[in-house]
Amino acid sequence: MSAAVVTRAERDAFTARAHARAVRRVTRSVGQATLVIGGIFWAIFLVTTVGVPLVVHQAGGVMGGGVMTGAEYAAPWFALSLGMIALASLVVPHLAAGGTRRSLAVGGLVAALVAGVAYGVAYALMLLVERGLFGALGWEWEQLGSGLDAGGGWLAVTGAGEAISVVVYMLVGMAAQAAYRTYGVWRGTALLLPGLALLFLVDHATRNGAFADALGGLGLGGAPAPAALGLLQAVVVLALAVGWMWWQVRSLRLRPTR
Amino acid sequence: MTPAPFGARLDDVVVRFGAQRRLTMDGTAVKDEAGTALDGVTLDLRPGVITGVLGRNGAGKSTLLTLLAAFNRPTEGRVRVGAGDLLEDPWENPWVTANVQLVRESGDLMDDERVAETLKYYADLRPYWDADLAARLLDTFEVNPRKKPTALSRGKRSAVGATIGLASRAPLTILDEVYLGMDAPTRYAFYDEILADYAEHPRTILLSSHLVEEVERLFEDVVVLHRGKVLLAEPAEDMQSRGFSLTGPVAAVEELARGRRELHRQRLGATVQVTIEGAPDDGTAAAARAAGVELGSLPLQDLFVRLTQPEPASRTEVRR
Repeated sequence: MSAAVVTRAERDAFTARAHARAVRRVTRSVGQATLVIGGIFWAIFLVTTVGVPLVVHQAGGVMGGGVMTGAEYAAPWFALSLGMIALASLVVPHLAAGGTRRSLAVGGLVAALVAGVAYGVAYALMLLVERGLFGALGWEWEQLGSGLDAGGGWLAVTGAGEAISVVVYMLVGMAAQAAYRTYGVWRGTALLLPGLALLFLVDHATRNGAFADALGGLGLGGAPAPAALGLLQAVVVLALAVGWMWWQVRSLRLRPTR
Repeated sequence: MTPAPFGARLDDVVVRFGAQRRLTMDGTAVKDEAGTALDGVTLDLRPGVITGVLGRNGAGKSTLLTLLAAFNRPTEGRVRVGAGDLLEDPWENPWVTANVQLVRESGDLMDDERVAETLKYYADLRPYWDADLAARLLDTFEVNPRKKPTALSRGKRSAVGATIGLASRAPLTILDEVYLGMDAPTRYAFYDEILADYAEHPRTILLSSHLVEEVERLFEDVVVLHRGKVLLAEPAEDMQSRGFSLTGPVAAVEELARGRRELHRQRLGATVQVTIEGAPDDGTAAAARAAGVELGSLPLQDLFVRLTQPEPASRTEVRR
């Protein structure tokens, strides 16, 4: 190894390589964690989605609603938790290894998009499984998923809505973790509020999830919106969530802790 | 190709922290007090040398070192890091961060993963990572890379941090109290590895430690911080002229030390060692020889203790 004076071009090439390397590594670490742990999550739901109706049917009972109701509520919150945990475990080693906050944010965003697509597909497929199983057992299946007016494209809209929701929840989780790191418990908690607003907005836009159902229960859900409009609104919320996470992660500071 | 060793410059840097409650990874709440960690620090850190960063607890050492690695930003002032004349703000600057390796006493490891996973992460990001050296050091320090950091003793965890620091081969390597928990043989093995690797792969090393007597032999430059200010920043050689020690029979040493400013005194039976401020003149040296008194160089620890004693009037800021 020989030490040398580096030209501007070499410096820029080095910088680009360092950034790309760091983004790839974050994407791999966070993506693997969310896919592996998410795989376990969805596997548990698959077993219960199939197993519980069979057990009830065997006992001579009839189910009014499927197990996937639980997944509809749980999956985005699960993604939020994973976002918080992933950032918590990675941020210090990443910065210590020479990564920047920018590469952490970009890698986290890519991983969240991958997780969103995977969770959206898994959710849609499992709704199909549950609907098919209920049909086979001669039960009436109450349609779950997005309440957007999608006509025959209900399943695709539901999957897309779920994917966007999962990405938004995961990004909000990362932003919350970054805020706690930088600002401590009290201000970090106060900064949960903008994140919660984003969760509320994406649930409302996709007409899916806990906040949407809560509004519907209060009679404030509004009329069913066209799917295209709802998904467009959800994409806008996603853009806001990207900005929120970007801001929090890019300004993250690590205070000496001894 | 590796860039030339990195240097750094701090201009009138102030870092203030507000009071903050935070949750640790084990779920306990900790309160960090508000305060000024660095207060108008102006400092040059020479490239290509080993610099000791000394100071008592809370002096601002860790804060200063985290600024260089872009863990944090100054509240006021300017921090610049880089090679040659091209010094840059390290904040969100991949050119700087990829060439600066800060290892804190915690080791900055992934607690939920095996040590080998953390090392892979560093290897993937560090452009000059030496995997063979990392493997050899883990072997030397008797660390099992298949264990999780939480299953390691404090000393073994520190050894992993030391391994990361050396194997990264960063042009600016910062070791912030990395020795904590290491037993004496491990610490000395670590110091030997620093010197050997530094000789083979010249770079800038900043080493913060409370074990001044153990590490002073490594230092080419020394920075002493106290209450957020720089008390001293100069080559270790120059420090030799700041004082000397006299060791011998009590009466003879007392005679030679009369009228001089005493930095430290240690007595064992009829023998005493007194550390004196200033350089010995030829007369003193001759008189010492004649009286059977040994003339020694100034132990860094004595100067450090003297400089950081709570006597504000006795402290003078000295800069290189």
